[in-house]
Amino acid sequence: MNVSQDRTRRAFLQAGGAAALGLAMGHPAAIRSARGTALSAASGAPARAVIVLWLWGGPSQLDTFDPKPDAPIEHRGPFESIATSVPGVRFVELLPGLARRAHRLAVVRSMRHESNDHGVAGTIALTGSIAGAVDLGGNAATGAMRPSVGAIVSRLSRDRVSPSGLPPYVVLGSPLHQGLKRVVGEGGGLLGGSYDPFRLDYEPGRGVKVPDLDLPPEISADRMQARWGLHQSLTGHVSLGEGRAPQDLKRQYDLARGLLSAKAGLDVLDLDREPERVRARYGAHRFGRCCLIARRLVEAGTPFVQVNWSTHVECPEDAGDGGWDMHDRYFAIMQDRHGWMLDRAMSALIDDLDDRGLLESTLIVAVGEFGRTPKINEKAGRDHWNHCYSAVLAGGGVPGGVVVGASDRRAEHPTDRPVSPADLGATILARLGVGAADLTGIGLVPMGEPISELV
Amino acid sequence: MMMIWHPGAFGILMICQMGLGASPIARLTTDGLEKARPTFSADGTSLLVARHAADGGTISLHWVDPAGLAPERRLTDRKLPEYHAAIDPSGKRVLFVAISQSGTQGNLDIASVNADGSGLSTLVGDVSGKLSHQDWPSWSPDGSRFAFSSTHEGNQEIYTARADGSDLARLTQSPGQDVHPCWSPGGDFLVFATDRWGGLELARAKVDGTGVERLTTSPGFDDFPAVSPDGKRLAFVSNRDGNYEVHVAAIDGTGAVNVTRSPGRDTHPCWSPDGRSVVVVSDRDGGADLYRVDVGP
Repeated sequence: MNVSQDRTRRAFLQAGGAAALGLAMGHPAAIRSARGTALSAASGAPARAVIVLWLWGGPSQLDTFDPKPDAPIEHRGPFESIATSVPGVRFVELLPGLARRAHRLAVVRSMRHESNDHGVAGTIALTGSIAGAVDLGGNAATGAMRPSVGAIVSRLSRDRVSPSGLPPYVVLGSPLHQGLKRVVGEGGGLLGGSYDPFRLDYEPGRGVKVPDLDLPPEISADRMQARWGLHQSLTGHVSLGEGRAPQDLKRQYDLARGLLSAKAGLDVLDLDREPERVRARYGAHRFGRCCLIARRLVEAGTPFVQVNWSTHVECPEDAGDGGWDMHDRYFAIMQDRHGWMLDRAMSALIDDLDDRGLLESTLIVAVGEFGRTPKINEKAGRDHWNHCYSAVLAGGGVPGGVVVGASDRRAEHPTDRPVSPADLGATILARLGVGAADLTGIGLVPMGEPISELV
Repeated sequence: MMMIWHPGAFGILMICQMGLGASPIARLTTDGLEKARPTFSADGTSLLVARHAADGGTISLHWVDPAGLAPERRLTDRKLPEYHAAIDPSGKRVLFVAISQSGTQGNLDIASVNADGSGLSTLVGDVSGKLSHQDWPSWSPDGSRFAFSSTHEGNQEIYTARADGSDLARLTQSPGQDVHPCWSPGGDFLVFATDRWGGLELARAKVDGTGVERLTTSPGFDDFPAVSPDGKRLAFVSNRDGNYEVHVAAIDGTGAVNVTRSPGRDTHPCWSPDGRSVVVVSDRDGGADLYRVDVGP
């Protein structure tokens, strides 16, 4: 659906067809409904919202936030490092905007975990645990899938519909893939599918889409409205039954109706309401526009938004949609695409939130599932490297101008203060005021330690 | 008349005079979709450019009328990604980078096709059966050979080959990245980008690979060199001013002038056949489009 341009479909949504579509298209996970305890917004925690910039595919630590200009030519890559606004801290030259804002950033240069498989690493990075992860060969790790941090926030949210009119956990992007294989870890895991994310997306040239509610071109709004009427007439006489699944389904319908009745839930997606100068700062590309949508969602009250850089890990010329998994032509793609896109969009997001007085209450986290091999491979690319990579945080009360941990002279391993994805997840939750008692209260075993320098 | 003022390499104030009555920068496309490496047809009436689809997932080559009169059309009917085209001096054949579908991760070939889209063939594929990528072809002025970069020997180096793809000859020997060759109109040297001295800088070498000479020394990268049709000037991309801009310098790299000067990203310059302008990819108005920048004779 194109909110900004396709008024027919928008009218359809406003008229009440989305819930019917969720039924008719077989996407019961589109909109969730469940009970919830209150997220500790009033606990004094500075952060009230989180935006995760999910750099799917795995950026190179050397070519972003941990350059090694003195490393051998086979490692350092072709890009120079530049000074930042923090004395002694340097970024790669492709990130001049973020370099100027380094005093607002906390950089963790010592991330690491145990897997270099996208699927497994993605699950670890999003949930903090390898449990339930599925690798490229289809082998599943033992244990029940943990919920993502976003799903935990969703579970702890007081209301199933945030003030934005949308569920509390929104992912901008389709379900993650490694090749044709879907990657797990974005959802509710052992908390249940009720806490899976609500998905939105943006397509350049078309506008905002609701992937789970996308109308096939051959189906008109009127036809879907008729289906909705049919659904109502049927469910008026047929019991949905007892048990969790039917009740979850009923809650989805309820939530869908709630969503449709809240016009704000649609207005928040209308980027035409943004001045051109603001849109331009983010960039016309998909990631930039999604960062802008994330800001609008947070501003409207959504507590957790994840912006997926891409659906597929692979780079665009390799049958993907532009992920960071650049085993070849790494530097060409960084220069032509990824470097400036990340720099501009994240810089714009920081500034925009700050301009609106929202930066102190909104935590931005930019991270992928792992880093890249410090030694350049035979194809002018870098391969998977889970032993050392970087994460960047801004806002949400996290101190700026901070570097946590350090890597060795080739960025191969942490030399100080290793940090796990579970630690990063615990840090995000801590900034939101979610502690061990909150987690145990919903049946979760707390994992990781908040990064003391950042909480 | 428009003047661009710029401090030269030795602190000398340089003046670049634009043509009388000329608009210094003209927008040629308006779709805003990502684009890469425009190149002019031999007669200057068409541009061939790689363009992403709206969803960002595919990239293909398109003929574009710089006057905006003729409708855009595909070069080939291939379904798989293709980009970085180079048109031979006769205007009849096009080299481009052709990709086999994922998960090949790096299987890029140099393909050839007639300008009308017929006669598609692969000229340089996986050399010796080794997965590698060949990129950024550039024709010699007589059309007998072309230069390109390849990773088939374990590092990205510059090679040349006969027009039929045979007789590969390696020009560069560096453990770093040697990329984006451009054959000079006189046929006697190639300009390329290399990180052998630190960041990406421009260099030139004789066509047998000897006589490597450094052309630029600047903070930040200098990349995507394009030699003017008269062989006297060099257009290239640099972030020496803190942003992606297209600069024009003398062929030895001196006296570089920023000719785009926008807060947007200006990149991938190509010369018009008359040498009076360069066409660049720029997002100065939001999306990525083609712009003609007059740079004078």
